[in-house]
Amino acid sequence: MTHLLRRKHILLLSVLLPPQVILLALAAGSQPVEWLLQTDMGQTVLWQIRLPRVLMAFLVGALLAWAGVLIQGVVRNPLADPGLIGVSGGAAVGAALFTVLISSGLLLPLWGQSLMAFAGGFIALLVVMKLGLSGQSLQAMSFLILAGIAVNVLASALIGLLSYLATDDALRQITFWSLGSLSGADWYWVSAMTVLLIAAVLFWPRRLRALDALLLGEVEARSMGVSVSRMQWQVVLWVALLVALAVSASGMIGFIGLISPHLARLLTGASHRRVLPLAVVLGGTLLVAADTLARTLIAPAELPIGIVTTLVGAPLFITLMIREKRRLSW
Amino acid sequence: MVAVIRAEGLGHRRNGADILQDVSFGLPPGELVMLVGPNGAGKSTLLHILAGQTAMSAGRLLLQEQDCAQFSRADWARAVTLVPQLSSMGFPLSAAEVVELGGLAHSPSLTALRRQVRAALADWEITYLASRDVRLLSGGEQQRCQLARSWIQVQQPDSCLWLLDEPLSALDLRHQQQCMQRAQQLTAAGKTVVMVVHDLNLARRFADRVLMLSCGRLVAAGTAAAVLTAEQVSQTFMLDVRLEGNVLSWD
Repeated sequence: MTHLLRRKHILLLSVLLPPQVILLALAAGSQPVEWLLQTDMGQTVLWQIRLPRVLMAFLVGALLAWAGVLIQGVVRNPLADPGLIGVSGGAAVGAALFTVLISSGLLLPLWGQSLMAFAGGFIALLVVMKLGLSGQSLQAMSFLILAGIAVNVLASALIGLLSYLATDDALRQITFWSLGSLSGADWYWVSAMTVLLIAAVLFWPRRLRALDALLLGEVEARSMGVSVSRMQWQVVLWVALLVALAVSASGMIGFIGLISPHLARLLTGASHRRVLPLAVVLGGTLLVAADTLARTLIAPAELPIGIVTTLVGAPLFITLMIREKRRLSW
Repeated sequence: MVAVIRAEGLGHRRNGADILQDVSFGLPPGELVMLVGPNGAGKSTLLHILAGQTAMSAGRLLLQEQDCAQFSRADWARAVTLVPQLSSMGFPLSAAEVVELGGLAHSPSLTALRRQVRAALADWEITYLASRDVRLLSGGEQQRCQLARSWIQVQQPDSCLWLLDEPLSALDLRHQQQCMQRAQQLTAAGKTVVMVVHDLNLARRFADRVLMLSCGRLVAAGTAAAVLTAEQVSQTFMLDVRLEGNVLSWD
């Protein structure tokens, strides 16, 4: 196993890749670059619409990838994904409930939406973890996926129920969440996500070795001095936070949290100190690329981003699984 | 005598059944202790209680004569190292990365850790596997990776107890012998080793002390010669065993 990327390469990549991709995405659109730079209208579009949107795409991708790395590590299952195991669904239910409450005349602050998304995602994650972490590891893996399916089905039923209760305006919002879109981007979301990302950067790096230990098994990790249950709680809280903010800003965007850690591991092995930064940069980059496609392919209309990531992500995921299966069978 | 680890009336209940009952012993420093008994006797449970992995439902456990409740998880790991039975892993860590985790409990400096990893890989003859994906190694090779990982942890100065759950099960003859030599190397340095084994003749040959469990109770404890008698073994394992020379044998 020779890793394609060593740690210094990853650092280099993390610094160089995002600005390139962001610049490219800023330039992509129906109008030429000169228009953006030289007209008043273009300047407004650039600073108030395009830049926050591209930055938010990067941040949402980064948050989802971060959540994916954490949840996969703590349940020791490389198939776990915030979308697949129902966390995004739970968060979307919370956000949709908020919208219905707002449209029925209740006065609630905007951050209440993220709070309710957090509550929804947190509850979904608790249910799934409770089922997915007990017992033998092989059993736990299938329980986790099954619990995720159950939570997802329940979430979509609840969203369906809420859309019956919703006004036209709220209904549009709810559809927006279930398909995913970055068209709501503004500087409020960009700054909120930047703050959360900085907090994660301060919190996680010194805990990554313990997360590596957890990959070997809970007993093994405890024998090395890791407080496994505390670590699990930290991951549950952080994943719910990361996913809640991503979902309340942009709806359910599938597969980024799954594909980015997978690609990172293909490039650099499983050690979290290499996988986490690489996956986060890849997640951001992939989502910027997907969003650029979503808004330019059928311009002036745009595709829902969730559809783009799933159309690309699901086949890619199946390919990765086939590859993995071949590699591990003998 | 200051025992490295002392059990006083240990008990463990699971789903209303007694897995362990009233187990008491004290283990002095520098002994190689083997834990024997039939399947389901409670050997692994006892080892996991000593490792601080499984809660006891009765009794007391003392490490260096201090109640185990006074230790945090991290403190316990600095003193006690467990090698559990082999479990499978779904992630592509390399053998060297697995071994390197042995430094987690004591967090030695980076240069010291690098040196310890190199030494552990050499001591367990897995240097040639260092950069390989552990999931693709054979059972015996994976077992040696886990042993090498724990080897780093148990060799730290404040570590005093090495607990091994059937460490020899996947190893070939050469590496079984090597594992026993490593254990003796530790006992010579004043650390205590507790090992669950099934090979009673191995226990007769290497053990300074044998603890025999049957149906959750400690039925015999003492030197190998005193515990592993034909009569005691026949009775506990329900098999007609005799002693020929210094070797237990059966038809």
